[in-house]
Amino acid sequence: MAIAASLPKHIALHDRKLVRRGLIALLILWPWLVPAQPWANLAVRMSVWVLAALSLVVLTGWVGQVSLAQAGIMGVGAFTAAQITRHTGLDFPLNIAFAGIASAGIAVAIGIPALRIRGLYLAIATLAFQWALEQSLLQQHWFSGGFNGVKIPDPHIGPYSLTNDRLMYYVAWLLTGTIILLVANLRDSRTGRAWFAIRGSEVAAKTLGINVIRYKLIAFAVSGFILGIAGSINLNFIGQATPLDYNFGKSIQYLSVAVLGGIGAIGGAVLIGIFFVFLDGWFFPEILTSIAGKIGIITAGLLIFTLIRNPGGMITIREDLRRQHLERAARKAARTNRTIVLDAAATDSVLTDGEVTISDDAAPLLPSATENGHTGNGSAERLRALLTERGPRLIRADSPLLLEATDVSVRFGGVVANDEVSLEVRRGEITGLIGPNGAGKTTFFNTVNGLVKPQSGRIRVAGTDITDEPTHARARLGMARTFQIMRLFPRLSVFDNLMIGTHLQNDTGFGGNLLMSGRSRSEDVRLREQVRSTLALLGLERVAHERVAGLPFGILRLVELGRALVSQPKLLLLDEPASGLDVGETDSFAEHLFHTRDELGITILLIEHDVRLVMMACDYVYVMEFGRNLAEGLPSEVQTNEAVVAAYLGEETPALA
Amino acid sequence: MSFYFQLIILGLPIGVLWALLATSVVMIYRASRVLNLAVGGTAMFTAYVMYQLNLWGVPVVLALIGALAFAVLFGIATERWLLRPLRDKPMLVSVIMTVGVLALTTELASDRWGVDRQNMPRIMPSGAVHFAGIAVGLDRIFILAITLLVMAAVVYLFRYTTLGISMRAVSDDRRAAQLMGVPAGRVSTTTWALGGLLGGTAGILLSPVIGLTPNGLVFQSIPALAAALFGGLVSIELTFIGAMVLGVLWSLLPGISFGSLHLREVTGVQEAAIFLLVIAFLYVRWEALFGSELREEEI
Repeated sequence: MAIAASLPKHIALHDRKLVRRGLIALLILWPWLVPAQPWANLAVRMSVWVLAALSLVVLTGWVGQVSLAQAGIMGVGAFTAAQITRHTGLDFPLNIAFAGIASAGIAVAIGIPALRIRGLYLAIATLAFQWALEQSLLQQHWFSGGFNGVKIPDPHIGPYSLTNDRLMYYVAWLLTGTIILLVANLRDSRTGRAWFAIRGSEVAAKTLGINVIRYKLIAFAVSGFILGIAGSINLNFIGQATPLDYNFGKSIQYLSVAVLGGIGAIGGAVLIGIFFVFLDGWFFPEILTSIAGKIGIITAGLLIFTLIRNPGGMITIREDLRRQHLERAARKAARTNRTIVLDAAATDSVLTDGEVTISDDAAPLLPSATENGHTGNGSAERLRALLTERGPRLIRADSPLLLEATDVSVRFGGVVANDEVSLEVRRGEITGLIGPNGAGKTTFFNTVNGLVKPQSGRIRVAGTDITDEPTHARARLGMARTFQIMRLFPRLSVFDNLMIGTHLQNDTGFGGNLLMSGRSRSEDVRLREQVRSTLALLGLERVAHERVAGLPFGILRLVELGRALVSQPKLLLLDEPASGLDVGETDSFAEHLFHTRDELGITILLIEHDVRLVMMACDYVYVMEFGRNLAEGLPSEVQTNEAVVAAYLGEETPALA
Repeated sequence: MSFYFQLIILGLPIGVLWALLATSVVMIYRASRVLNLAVGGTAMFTAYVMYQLNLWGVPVVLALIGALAFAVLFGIATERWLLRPLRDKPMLVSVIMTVGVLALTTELASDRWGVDRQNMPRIMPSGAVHFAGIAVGLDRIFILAITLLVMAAVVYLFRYTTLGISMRAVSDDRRAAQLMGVPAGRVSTTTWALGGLLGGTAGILLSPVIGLTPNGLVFQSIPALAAALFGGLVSIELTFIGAMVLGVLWSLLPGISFGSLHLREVTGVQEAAIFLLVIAFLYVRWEALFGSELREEEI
């Protein structure tokens, strides 16, 4: 790493190209350079391992769903293909597709419980699934042929046999290479971003309009399909499928490979997969069918060792480096392709107006200038000027209703969290929702958002009843939110967090993403441009490529606001966005709120404890206490309402700036 | 009818021993928030240690004591060397670690003793007592008595002893418990030692019932986990009920026929049923395990 960095760039690049070409040449010539037994044969087995690890990279690394049943799923594909070949004569290469489809089907079947069962519990469910498959389906004579397995007629291409032949090497690695490319396409597209979102936080993913059920099932299907391909390679190459090749031990070996490769990294899975089979062949050449044996002990031992030493895997490929590379490529594409940038012009013109407001005031938010300078006189004066210009209106505007909640009641067991709460938000306003801790404000937000189902009451957006809509459908109708306890995607950069927010602005589908269609690519370029503008608007350019975990709190609040903004909502729900911010950061945040309302035309519903911010920014205020409506009115009215003062503000009204 | 009754009696020891394994899972989960998928591995390996000691000519009683000592040490070693370094990592990492341990024990045992069935030395009394025409083996009564005793002791431990309360405190909030003067490290170690002891005992008692093979014993983790989930990973009583239901189902299934379809002729019907029950328990108990979706994400 250090050596590569000290070399002049062009030399390093040149070397890398040379190495890559050399490797590809070596891969192509491999079966002719070594004796077929064991080395060419091992190379075919390597492809099976690599694919199995890859299926876990997708499912566990990217979507966060653990599966201990990968070998069993692979087996279902292999035996289905074997039986179809035996009974119908539809052999290679058609049986590859059958295997893929069968494995994808069984993977989706285990994926359905996974829609509800998560995390470590999914580990138990899939472990039980592997065990049940092994003991039941893979023991059925009609399916798996019992202990000795199922033999198929010699697969061939024209007159050339594939069993134990060099030709199979090319078939296997062509399939593997294609799958690697396609899977990488998915990762870098809308589908991949939706997966990363689910891995980070399912709740946040839903609020960004991601249909979690759909994307999880896609992931299970993709993972299963890859396993099926692996199973068919095994089948066609050996000319036989045996249950022992698909037992629990194998599942764990594949898991070990994926974990050692730094689960989530394609390159790691490939390298470790190859390394393991190499190891197996080098030390234990006699065990070609690899029934358990020493390799099982070694993989399990290495899995344990890796988890203790570095759960990130033996090979840590820096995700952010790759991302930055992508980002540069996209920028280059944007420069050379003016027509695409023109698509974004509409957004741009809105955003350039905004630059007047943010100008230099956003800068102090950045880590490089956290001293208190920005709370000085200049800023306060500017804020005062801004408030006289944009602060609360003195009468309630007569604009149309955007959000209408009537008599919403929510109970958790015996606790009544919301008791017939009603609230109206008018278009183009900042509406505040305040109340003491435990008043039920966040529960109300979750209900509006669809994360909590109310026992009674209706919620309408722009006249449409959405009470029974799921969260992601509400996002589609133009609802975005932030969370009191932030739900960012900590392992991704600021930029990628915002990119996930563009999910609803991107109408490319799975097929286009898989093949990286022109449309898929141009949408990416357009949305990257949009994210860049939003980052500029919020003054976040300097941290754009930093990983979210570890950034200061004030920045994170802005990142979450930015992620909501890029989804271009009509209604933005902000849950205590100023908690944890200091006075200067809060003022700056207020400016962003005004900008969002006035320039971007987004209506805001704001929960806040900071009375100063509420009085400064809100056009209309609702007050809740003990789960009920307590009062409502213009900020100045609420401030003097005796019930509110008694319940919430304390004995006397605090003086406001 | 008495045919089914006999089947249920036959299934009792299996259910009871799953309850014992499940108690180990619940205890470790309650005290250290680690879901120990490797409990079947501990059980299996302990049984093999006893088998091996006996093979070397060690008397049965000493072999039993030696094996149980191994189980305790195994529990301690797992906690100290494998799980303690992962304390600040996501829970999923610990779970994958226990999967690694499960795999390692299986592979080591298969490599050392082979995958075929071995004969366990006899430790339980033979003979039977007769109730209303049904024969009940003394060994079964023996197993039931041991398990009920152990489970009662665990319930007592959690409810009434300082150690039990410390265990719950450490799992709730480790830092806070330490500030209150609870020696968190020692509490974790003790829990795992006891968990190992329970798992090992279950393994030794299970192996004459289901046969001493690596795979056969290792996968006893699954019904045990199912029972533990039924108890919401908290309640020892519900865990016991869950395990008994599973055990009875396990032994009844092969006796059931639908017309000409005899379930005993369907390979793996018991395992498939357990799998479906795992899923069902997870669905039914999800609310008890988490409460709400918003809460479960914090896990």
